[in-house]
Amino acid sequence: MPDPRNPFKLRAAEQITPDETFLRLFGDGALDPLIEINWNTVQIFRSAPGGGKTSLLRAFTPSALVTLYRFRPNEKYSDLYMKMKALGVMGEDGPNLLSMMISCASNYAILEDLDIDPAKKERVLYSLLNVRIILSALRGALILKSLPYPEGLKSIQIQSVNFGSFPEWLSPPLPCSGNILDDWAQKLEKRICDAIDSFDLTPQVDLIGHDTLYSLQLLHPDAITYQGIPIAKRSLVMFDDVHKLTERQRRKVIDTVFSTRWPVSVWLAERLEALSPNELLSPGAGVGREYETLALAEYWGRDNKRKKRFEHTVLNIANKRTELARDIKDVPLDGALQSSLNTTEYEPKYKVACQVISQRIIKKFASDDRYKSLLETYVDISESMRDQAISWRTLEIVLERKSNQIQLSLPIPLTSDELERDSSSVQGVAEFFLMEEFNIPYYYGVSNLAELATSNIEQFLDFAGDLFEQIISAALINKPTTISPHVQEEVLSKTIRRRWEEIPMRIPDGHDVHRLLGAIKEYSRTETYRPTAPYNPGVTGIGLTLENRKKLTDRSGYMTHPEYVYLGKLLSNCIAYNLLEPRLITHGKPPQTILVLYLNRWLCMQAGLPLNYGGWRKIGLDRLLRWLHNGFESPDNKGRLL
Amino acid sequence: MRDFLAERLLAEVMSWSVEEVADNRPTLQTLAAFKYDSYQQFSPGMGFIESLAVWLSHFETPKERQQAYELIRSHLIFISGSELIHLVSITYPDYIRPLLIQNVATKLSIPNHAIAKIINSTEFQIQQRRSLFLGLSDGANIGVFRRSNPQLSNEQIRLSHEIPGKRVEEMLSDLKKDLQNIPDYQAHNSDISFNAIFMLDDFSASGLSYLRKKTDNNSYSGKINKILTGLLTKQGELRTLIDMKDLLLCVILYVATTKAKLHIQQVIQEWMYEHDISTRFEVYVIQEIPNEVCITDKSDAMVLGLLEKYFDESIVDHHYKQGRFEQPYLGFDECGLPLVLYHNTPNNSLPILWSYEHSKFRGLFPRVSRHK
Repeated sequence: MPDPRNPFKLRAAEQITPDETFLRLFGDGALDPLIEINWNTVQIFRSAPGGGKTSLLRAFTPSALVTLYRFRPNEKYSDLYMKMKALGVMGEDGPNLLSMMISCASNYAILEDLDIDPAKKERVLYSLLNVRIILSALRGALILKSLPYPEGLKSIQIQSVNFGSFPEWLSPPLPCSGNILDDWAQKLEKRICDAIDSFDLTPQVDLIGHDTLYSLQLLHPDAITYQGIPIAKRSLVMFDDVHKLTERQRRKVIDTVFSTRWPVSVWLAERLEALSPNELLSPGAGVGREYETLALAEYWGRDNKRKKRFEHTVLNIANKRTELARDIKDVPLDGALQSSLNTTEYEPKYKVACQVISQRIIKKFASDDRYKSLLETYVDISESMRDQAISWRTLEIVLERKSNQIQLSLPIPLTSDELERDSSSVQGVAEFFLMEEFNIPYYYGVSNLAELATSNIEQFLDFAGDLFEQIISAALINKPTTISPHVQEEVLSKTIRRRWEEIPMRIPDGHDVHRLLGAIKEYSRTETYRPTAPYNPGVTGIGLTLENRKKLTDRSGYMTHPEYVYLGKLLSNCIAYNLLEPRLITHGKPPQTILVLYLNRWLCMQAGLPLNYGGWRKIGLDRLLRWLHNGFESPDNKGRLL
Repeated sequence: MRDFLAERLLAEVMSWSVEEVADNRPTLQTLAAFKYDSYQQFSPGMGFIESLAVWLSHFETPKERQQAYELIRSHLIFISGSELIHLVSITYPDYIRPLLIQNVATKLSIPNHAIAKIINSTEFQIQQRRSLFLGLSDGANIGVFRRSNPQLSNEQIRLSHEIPGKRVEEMLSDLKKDLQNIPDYQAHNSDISFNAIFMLDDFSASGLSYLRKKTDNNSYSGKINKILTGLLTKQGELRTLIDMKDLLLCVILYVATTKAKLHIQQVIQEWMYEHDISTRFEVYVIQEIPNEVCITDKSDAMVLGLLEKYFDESIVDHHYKQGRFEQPYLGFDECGLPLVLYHNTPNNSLPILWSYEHSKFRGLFPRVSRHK
């Protein structure tokens, strides 16, 4: 594969071939969620589109593992190899794992259109899955042992397993060599597919099929041997794109996988859109006796340590991609993105800010006896114009807060000590307000870029890709390849605008989602930019009580309050498509559990909001409905500064 | 490296800033990779980006270059090889077969929508075999058509419309044999002839090359004039091939303008009227190019100015003058098409697109002339 012009545009894991390129671009940090994996428990990986599920699964396929083993001395692959070794997947002699990756996107859903009863449809589904798992296992075994297909199949032996009673033509001819099993499975698959493709809506009645995923029983680690020795120490069946099955099929497959303790490890990967509104609006690790769920975005966003690790991982992925670029070499992304402001360049703006803010303060507060004395003697001793501007803005916020406090006694003048004490907690938000008001860049640098990704790798690649386009464009015409904060913001704003405009086309009920999100953004902005900055550093989400959450997901409420159920559907879509991030938090006295829906960080940038988490406001359902129908309405005239 | 240099040249010609390079390069590369690089008349080693850079450098001012670039970005239509093959492959199942189904439905007096019943009937098998497919030029891609429709017999598909007399007899003999092999077929002498003739070709912009009336002597000329004469007139050498009583004639073009379609329909009608023949005929266009895409004298004045200023008169020959010629910078017969076919740009397209490689103004997709 020739080197791509912009390697960030290589997206879907399925499209990056060959394996050595895929592995080279695969950041070893992406395996972090698997560090404490329990191989004996069914794992369900969930994310919005682009979360990295398929890439994760692909890394465990036989061809990827064999390629990784072969390239292990190469420094570009060694970290990943060591990680796989730590997971027990790779041994000194090669891969220890025989995996089978089955994509549920391959025409299973059309089985529901067959004009046969549901029980038979289920059996046809299981039959198809079983034969494909078996075929995948045989191919995988050949790859692990570097045997050619189909000649190598004769050297593979498959042991007998008791399945219970099946019609003869449905039972594999065990024990047997690989070629016999392969032939049997191919014929059965063809028979099933011919029946589906025949346009005959009532296919042969005798195509009854299997009633369970017995292939998971067959493929235990000792079942497949080569020269008398098991092919691998562990077997893993990975079902990808489970959301592509119909709801009925998905439920059946998941129930089957959970119902039995299989001798193989089973992983399921699906998008969040497969979940019901109730499941989507109930975040938190799902752990049952038989399974564990791993919501990838939730994993990365759980705490600051994980966020830092995510930043490190995506930066690693980014730098691997830049190495692959066709026209430019040795320009790591973090080196090309300026991470600090050239304060000299922005000094005029800071100077203007000082003048504007100081005049504003004097106009509003100089005549107030509480502040007169302080203001008359106030001298900012900060060295830089930037620090002076921040000080003035901090002062303004403190004065606003003081003014808002109810005076129960005689007005006491504000002292410098008091000012200093109150300023410390406000400086961060003051700097943010300053940047927003005077158009000084804020959303720049690698850390903010990782933050904007909101724990989604595809999102990171989208933003980084457009920034990298700038870098290679500059290289093309012999201009400097470093990108200033101002240009970074411009490029990101364009990318974000494109994402925003795509929402009605890409998301179910996209127009209503658009309107609702627009209102939430506007509301967050209004609350953030209150003169008193009460929600330091700002509001970036809304909170729902559990009682209201129940109304959104209560299907029985559809007759009495269908509008709530629809609202629940919209919010679920926002979560499924990574526009809102749900978190359960405990708040208040007495403690109350609140479902907070944070805006995706790129929506925060679009609304001019900070990227930190924390600030949110409780909202009622009726208000959300009003926003949905009428858009956001400003609640009062509290003199917003921005 | 070659791509990199070509893009750099293009950026220099257009005096692009970093932001403009970042905006334009991905799109141009995608267009080149997806379609434009496959243009078969580029000289070896030449790709779309290089050709674009060289082409744009012809224009004297940055404003003209920008206009020319916008013309390509927003108006150009490029029919690729795979698109054309797709059109060929859908012609029979999506256009011809429904027509045959309709015919048989009428004969059997059953509804059109009873598809399974119709296609399983003996009458449909007969109708399908009694259809003859003639290629009007190389562009008809008869090989692709044949391979896309294995249910049709080789004996009913001809590379060209030229059918020698001896071959006519062989074709009728083969037809008789194949009809007798159809289950439940009951022989009628009238069956041993073709009752549906489909004439296939790839592209037309004006329709003039298919059939036109010469102004000097009122006679007809064009590709299908000979076929019509041979098939439909009493002295026609192909008359024995067909069943005049129940004949359907069809001209099928994979790509054509609305103007061409209307012209061919009209002139066939006139031809039939003048020859006192009333045979059912249809003209189908699989991918019709609407008139709105064409550049005309009512289009943007700046674009017209550009076309006129950079028109290279050396491309005019006597073939070119056979169409309308008041505004030759709009292409043959003033079609004003911003269209390129993957194997060659038609001369109905805007000349600044296709001017020959040896011309003073080299076109973006230089043309090879068929007319010598």
